[in-house]
Amino acid sequence: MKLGNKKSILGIAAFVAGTMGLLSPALAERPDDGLYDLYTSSFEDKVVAFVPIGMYDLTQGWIAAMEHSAERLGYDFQVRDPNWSIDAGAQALEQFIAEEPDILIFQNNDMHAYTKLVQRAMQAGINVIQMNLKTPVNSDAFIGGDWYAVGAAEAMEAVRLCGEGTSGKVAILQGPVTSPPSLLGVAGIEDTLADYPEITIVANQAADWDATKAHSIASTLLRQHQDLCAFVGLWDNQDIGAAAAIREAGMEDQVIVITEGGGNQTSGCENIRNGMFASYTKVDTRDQARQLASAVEMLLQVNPEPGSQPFGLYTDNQLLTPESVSDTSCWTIEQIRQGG
Amino acid sequence: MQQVLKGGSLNQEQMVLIISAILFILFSITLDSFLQISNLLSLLQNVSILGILAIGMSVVIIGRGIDLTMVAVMVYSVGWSFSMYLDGMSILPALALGLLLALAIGAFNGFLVSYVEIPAIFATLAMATVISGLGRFALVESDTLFITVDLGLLGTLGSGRLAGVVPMPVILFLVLACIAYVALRFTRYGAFVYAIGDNYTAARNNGIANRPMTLLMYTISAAIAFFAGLIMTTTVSTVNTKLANSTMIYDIILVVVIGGIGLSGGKGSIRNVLSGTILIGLLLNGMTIMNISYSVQSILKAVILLAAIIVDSMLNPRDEQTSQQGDI
Repeated sequence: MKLGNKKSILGIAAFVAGTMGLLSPALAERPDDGLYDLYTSSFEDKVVAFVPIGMYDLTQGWIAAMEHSAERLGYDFQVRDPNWSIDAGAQALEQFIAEEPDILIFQNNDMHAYTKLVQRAMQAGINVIQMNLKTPVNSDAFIGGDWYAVGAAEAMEAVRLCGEGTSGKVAILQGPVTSPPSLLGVAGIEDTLADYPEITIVANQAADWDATKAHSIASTLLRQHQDLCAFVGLWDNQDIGAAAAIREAGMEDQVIVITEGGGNQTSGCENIRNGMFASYTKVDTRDQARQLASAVEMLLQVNPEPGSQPFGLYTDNQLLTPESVSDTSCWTIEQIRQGG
Repeated sequence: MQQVLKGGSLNQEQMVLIISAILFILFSITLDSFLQISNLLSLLQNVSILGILAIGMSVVIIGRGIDLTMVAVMVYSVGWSFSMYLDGMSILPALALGLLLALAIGAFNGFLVSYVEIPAIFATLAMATVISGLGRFALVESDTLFITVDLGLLGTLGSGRLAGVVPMPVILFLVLACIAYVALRFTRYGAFVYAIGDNYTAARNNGIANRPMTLLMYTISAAIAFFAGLIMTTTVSTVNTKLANSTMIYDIILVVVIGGIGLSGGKGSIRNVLSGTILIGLLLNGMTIMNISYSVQSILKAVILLAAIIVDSMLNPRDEQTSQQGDI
């Protein structure tokens, strides 16, 4: 009995030793390809901070991609939303600068408001990424739309769609006048149309990125210029209002909306399909989101002296029309969140 | 100045109407497509939401208060309703919950002002921030909600037309104005609002239940805000919560003050709101037609508000006997 017991103990010991042997390859370190260890270690204990303008389709898209990336690579991603207040945004930036994250990402709704803060952040040794709306100061990276080119592309669409057989009259609907897409976009539209005298800009009004205000302005302009050909707007979220005013006035056959946007399924593609937007210059948020996540990944590894090597990733504009829009033209937040 | 203003037989409302008439004639002559039924209807439609909000605001201001939460209540109560709707709740319960939220916030505003006795301007200013913060944190996930589904009958609230001609928002504005006019002029509760606004202590001494009445006023303004939000949403199929941070609340006060409702309370009627709304509508319409730039439009609006407040303080000087700390 005693012997048998000893035997069984030995047996168990042998079995355990055997399985340990089987397990041991998994416990050993994975083979290093020369970069992988360096790569993973560069995200340890790193903090990336983001101050958006507010929480809307574009920012939610970028945040979704960043959260996906942060979870995958193991850095800490923090967002402080100033809810469209430039003051609150400046405070959030100050606070972050004091906390010294490794990378500070921000998006500014006013061309000049955060210029000083960008410089202070870089002096404090923080790498700074400007998102979609750039200040005149360069930081480590800018990722976002080329708003002048967006304006020019929309102007060319006006030339195409308001040619012969129409009055050639267009009305511009811009956002807040100090916002980069308005400043640069309107310049792009005007400069381009200067070469096409058959197109006249009959009005240029600010709708403050607000659909209701766009609706009011558009409904007034439709009465004033009854032969209007198109509204050239600078954001789909806002220009939905102009499209609603056209529909209300029963002028869908005559007046079109040329707009731009991030390619959100509900505000973009669905409205192209249902005829609200005749032309849509897509400044793809999904692309920007991936580029942002990649830029963060690179900066965390390279860790350059702040502002020493500024680079830009200007978004490739894509034209969507009711004829060219497809099922994959637009995105949903859920898709971006899942890494799509 | 006061003598000049009072010496004539004109009151502010009549002055506003005369200015409106002058502008109207001026625009009719100088602007090509101004004098058309369709333009005039769109003029009215464009200010009807502002006018509806101004009716709510005027009830509170006549009762010697001010409700700076109206825009925040409007966007977040309606925004909450539609975000629940988009998440799959059916529309009626979603709207009922949103309305309940608005009523609760209004009642709480009234409670702060009447029972806790915080001056209305501070209580509602703080509450506006609380609502915006809470709304963003817990109620509405995104700044802009797109309603891509057809809302059917509800959708006609904002984008429908009566007899195919008159925009529904205009009709709703006028109906609400009539209801408010009758309620303020011909009911006991209306008289109480004026009494409280005119002299708070005297009203209380005369047995008016000042506190519940104040609570009621703020609840009404919140309900009207919800209603205005519903019309706005169905007009453009979008809820835009960014408005909570806009200067829209000042536009509402502009309409109320410009029409001649005294900020010191107890004076004015819904007629003043109508004349104020029409003047602002004329200005906005004319400025848009003339393609005046955004900054100049803002300056003009601000100058008009300032002028209206100066005239108001001349015509309705602060009554030293009844004024109290925190009055505006």
